[in-house]
Amino acid sequence: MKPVPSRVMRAWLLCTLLALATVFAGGCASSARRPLCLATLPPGTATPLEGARGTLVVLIFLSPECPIANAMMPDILALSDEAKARGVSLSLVHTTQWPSDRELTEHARAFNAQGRVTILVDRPQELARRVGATVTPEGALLRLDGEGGFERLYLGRINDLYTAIGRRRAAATSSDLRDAMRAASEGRPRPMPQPKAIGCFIEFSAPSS
Amino acid sequence: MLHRILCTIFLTLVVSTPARGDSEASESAAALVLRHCSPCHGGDGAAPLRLDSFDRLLRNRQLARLLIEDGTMPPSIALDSGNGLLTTRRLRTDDRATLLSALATRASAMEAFKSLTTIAPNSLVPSVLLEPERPWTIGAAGGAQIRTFFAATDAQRVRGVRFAQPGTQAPIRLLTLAADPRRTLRQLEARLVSNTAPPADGGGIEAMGNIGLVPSGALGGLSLVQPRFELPAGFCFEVPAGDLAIETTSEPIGRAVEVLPTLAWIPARKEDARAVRAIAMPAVALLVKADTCASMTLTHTIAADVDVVAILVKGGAFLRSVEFEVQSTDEHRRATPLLTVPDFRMAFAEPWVFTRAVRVGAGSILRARLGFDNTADNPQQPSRPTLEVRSGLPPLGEDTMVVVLVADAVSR
Repeated sequence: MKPVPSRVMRAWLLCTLLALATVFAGGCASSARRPLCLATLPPGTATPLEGARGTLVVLIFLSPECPIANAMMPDILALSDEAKARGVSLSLVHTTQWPSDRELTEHARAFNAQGRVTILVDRPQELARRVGATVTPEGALLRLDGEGGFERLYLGRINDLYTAIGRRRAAATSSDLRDAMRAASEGRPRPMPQPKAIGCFIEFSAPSS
Repeated sequence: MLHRILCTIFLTLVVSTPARGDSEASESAAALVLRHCSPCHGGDGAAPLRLDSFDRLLRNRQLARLLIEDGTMPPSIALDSGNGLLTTRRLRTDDRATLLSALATRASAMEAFKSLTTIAPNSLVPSVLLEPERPWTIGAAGGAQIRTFFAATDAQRVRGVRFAQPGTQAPIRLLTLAADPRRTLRQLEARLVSNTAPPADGGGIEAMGNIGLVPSGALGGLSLVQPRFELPAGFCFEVPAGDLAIETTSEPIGRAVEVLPTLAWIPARKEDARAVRAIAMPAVALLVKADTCASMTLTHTIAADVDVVAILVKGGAFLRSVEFEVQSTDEHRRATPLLTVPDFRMAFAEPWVFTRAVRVGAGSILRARLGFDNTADNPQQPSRPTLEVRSGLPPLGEDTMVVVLVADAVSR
């Protein structure tokens, strides 16, 4: 067999190396990462997990028929105002499948949230699954990694207005999500523990394939 | 040939006969929901979370399962002391197991409750309503507040009272009634309005609904878990002409909303002839220092033989336990418990009616032991740091009162 010329060998080696580099460096990118895109109210779209690395995001999962979530709306809106002042993005997330956009809009109007806070509609329940939310109301504080992923800094109750079903205080004596947000925005360690949220369960449908 | 025929018959029977246990369990779960859940969460109920349709039950399946499993639901905070509480809702063990099994998965719930049809509210509005003239607006946030309204009523004998427009009574948590024949509340409100111009928040007065020595509750009461109050058969309230004082305890629901209690009498029948009156046992001069628990014992001596028909307990965030007993006059001075509420919660409080009236002889002592908790461990503690608590209006005061509904004894 005739020997392969060295320049051919070099070219072959170079192409192989380049191909391998492309695969390893752009393996995720090459699969065409799709940002999680959700509908909003008023009608629009949002990509809540997209943002510069280090961006803080607060998500509050709600259901319009959950009396505990509704009772907390004044506290949630106050938290939203503080988040805005701190440059932290805060969104309400409806992750139940049944209410129509009209019903969600009416809910936002009735509870003074319309025009005051971003409202996301997560009917596929994708955001809830990714974050790990299981209850409404439940708060999550995320730090984005700049590539559609995040570090979850807090997942739990908004505050201690309710200590159990049927046990409600006149006013919350601790504000756990707010404290976590303050700590993160000020560069302090996250407060522990992270008390579990009390409220209505999110009924998840079968995951979409 | 015979063998083949017998096998065919056997297989046909096995295949075609439905599993008896499964179909009975499926029907029982739906029937249990109708019996135990629908009175509060369905059609005419006052509970804020509606479970009045197949869809709503499905999307609250996990919550319902959790609350049934841990005993929170159906709510029954009073222990039955043996006299039988008319409104006991405790599930039997096998019924609880049936419900939990049906609610275990989405698939099992879909199968168990597929026969559950939507329960609509009773659309028949009674012709005679007890309705205040003006609603009051409660704000979006804050604690429980008392507001007392008045509504005109004719003289009549009644067995009880109910919400006339069920499902619309949010955010009322507890409602108690007293007769106001001299219309003192109406005059008081008129005076307040003339002094201050119409109050921005609407009708009613921020005060308790006692009329002199007659406690609010003397004509019964309603709550989230009891949207319909009825005396047992044979008993009635004799309502005088004038006004009805309607004391409401409401909690904010997250948005400003009008409170307008709209009620209807449940008329007495001819045989409901024994008039019921009230004995008031208020917790006066209550003082619970910060970070402490306290107890208070209220007593009342019975002057003549009576039958105890029902007990109402009105309490706020600091009342934690109630033990009500009767101490007899016999040589042993026996104490008979009538009502025990080891873990009082206003959200689940209700007028407790006995299935059998309890005879209490002259000279006997009614005794109510109340436990108060003003520590940080109180799950409904509104203050951090804790503050001193005194008798007064909620949310920071405590206005506990035990109202005992009795009828003069008749010879048995």
